[in-house]
Amino acid sequence: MELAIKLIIFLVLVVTGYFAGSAAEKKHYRSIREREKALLNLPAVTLKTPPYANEEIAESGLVCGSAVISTDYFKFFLASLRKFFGGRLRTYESLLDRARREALLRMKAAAGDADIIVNVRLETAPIGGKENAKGGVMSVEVLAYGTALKLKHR
Amino acid sequence: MATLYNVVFEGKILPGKELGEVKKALAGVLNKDAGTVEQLFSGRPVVLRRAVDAATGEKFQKNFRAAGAICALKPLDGNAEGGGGTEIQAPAPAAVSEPKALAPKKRPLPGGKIILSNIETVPGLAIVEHFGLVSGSTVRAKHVGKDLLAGFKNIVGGELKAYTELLQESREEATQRMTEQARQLGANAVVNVRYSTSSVSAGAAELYAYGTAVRVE
Amino acid sequence: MKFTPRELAENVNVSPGSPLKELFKLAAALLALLGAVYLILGLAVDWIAPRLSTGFEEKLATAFSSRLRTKAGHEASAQAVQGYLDELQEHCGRLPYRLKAHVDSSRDANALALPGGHIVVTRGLLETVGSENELVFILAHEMGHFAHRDHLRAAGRALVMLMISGLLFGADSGINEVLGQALNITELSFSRRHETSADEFGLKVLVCHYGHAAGAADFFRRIPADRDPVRFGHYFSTHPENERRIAHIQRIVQEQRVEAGPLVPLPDAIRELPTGR
Repeated sequence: MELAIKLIIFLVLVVTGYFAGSAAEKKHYRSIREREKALLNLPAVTLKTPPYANEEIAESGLVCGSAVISTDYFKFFLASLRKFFGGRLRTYESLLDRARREALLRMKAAAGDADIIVNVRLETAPIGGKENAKGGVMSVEVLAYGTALKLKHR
Repeated sequence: MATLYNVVFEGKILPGKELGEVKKALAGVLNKDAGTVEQLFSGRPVVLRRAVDAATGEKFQKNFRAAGAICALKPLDGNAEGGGGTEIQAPAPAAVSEPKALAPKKRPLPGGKIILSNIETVPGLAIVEHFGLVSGSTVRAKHVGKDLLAGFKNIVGGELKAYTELLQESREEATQRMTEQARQLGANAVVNVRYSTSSVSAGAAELYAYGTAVRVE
Repeated sequence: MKFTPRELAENVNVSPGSPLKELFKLAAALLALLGAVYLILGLAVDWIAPRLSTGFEEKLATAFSSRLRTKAGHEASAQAVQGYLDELQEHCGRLPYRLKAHVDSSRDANALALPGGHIVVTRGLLETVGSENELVFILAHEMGHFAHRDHLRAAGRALVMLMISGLLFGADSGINEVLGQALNITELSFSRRHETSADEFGLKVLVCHYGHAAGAADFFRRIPADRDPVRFGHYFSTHPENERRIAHIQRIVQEQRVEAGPLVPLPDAIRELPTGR
């Protein structure tokens, strides 16, 4: 029966999404936390004016990092239920959190041995699969960019 | 210029009210979690809001009374802007230096408000150290009934109140999360705050606030 | 400006809570809501259906009843069936409808009660029935459906549910399809209750017309278990279902101590149908 087949496919997707998705997310978070610890000494700030005098700065350059992260089917289904009732979409929160931290980390990594990154900006854009047509976005792109400064003496 | 007040809470509750209930009610009124409300009852006076006018101050008092607590309005003088994010006892009309002498200023005391600024500095104060980027984000959706109503409103045009509310709530929550992160880092101000909205999913709005956590004095 | 690197202890940007728990909570809430709506709708439809005047219903039905024109060649049998209907209506089962008989050329044995008082029997049915009593029972069964306004209840509820879900989820979303098929199944099972009460009505009319109940369950018995149930339409959705209905009819016959009687053979006029399609 058609209905049974559709239901089975749906259940398989949801279950796979849940297990595989949570595993992938945990791994990703672990990697994020490790790299954040390693890059802790490179500050990224949103200040426009570098907190150093012009003479102290050796070089500067634009650095950016971006990441596109997608949710799993379980999260997508849970979010559609959630949107029906209203309230906080917890599943998308973690998606965005991961994407942003990943983008920032990649930006910091691109800065090499800079001393500080100033005027950091973050841009978020939803990138859709075919679900986008119906309004259900499953992935998001974050771009982080700033000016990396290297000081003369350190 | 009209007199401005600081809203100070000293842990007083209305007679006959039960402390646990008052704490819960306050959490609702102030839209904070239980932990923050606990800190309000630490025994020390806490400045909830600085430099508000009489009408706003009275609104605070009314909300507090509804929750079962008493907050005081302490008039502040001319340019005695709160120093260093610390609590201020009712400043007697005195010079700016007095608050510094009264309270320790190295760390933001619990319950102290984080100063937010959209420019590079907090006017009148100097940035002493910074802690890097802090951010707060939240994704929220309205329930499907409001979505339907908004759909109908699309025909007529005009403000979609439900969505405005939704984004306002999101903005407040995102800002609160950002200041929470700042507090964890030991900052007492966040400068160069930027907001960014994106629609991650149909009917859901994501709001992102980020800035640099600093300590000002 | 000094920089002090510090680590963040907890992640404030993700609300705590297990997604599984949230899923169960939301799914349960949604099911409860849908269930409540369905129940309320059921009650509303049950309340409205009997009050819908037959005249109004016939007017609604004119939209598709024009397509029910009996095909050429079947007019004789259609007239004969109409004759039976008129006779039954006059003496035994007065209904507020003007019942109209139509004959469909399908080979499957089936009979349908459609809104507006239209009863459709198929050629396959006319070929298969063994006696006049059988045919009369089947016609009386369909009359029972009309008497209880069953067709309205089922259609009404399913329609409103689909409309609501279409509004909420979008007309061609996956949820709508799933709901449509789920409703198909539930309506099928609801209509089984209606089938049984239609059986009872049919039995009453049969006994009234002939004075005995011979031939009532013959049609059910005629179809052996291994025949393809789908071919026989809504009568034969499951074999256990048939058994149940046969047993039910027999039970009533026994309770009411209806006597047995002779089976009247079906006039040839009805069976003389054009061969081939």
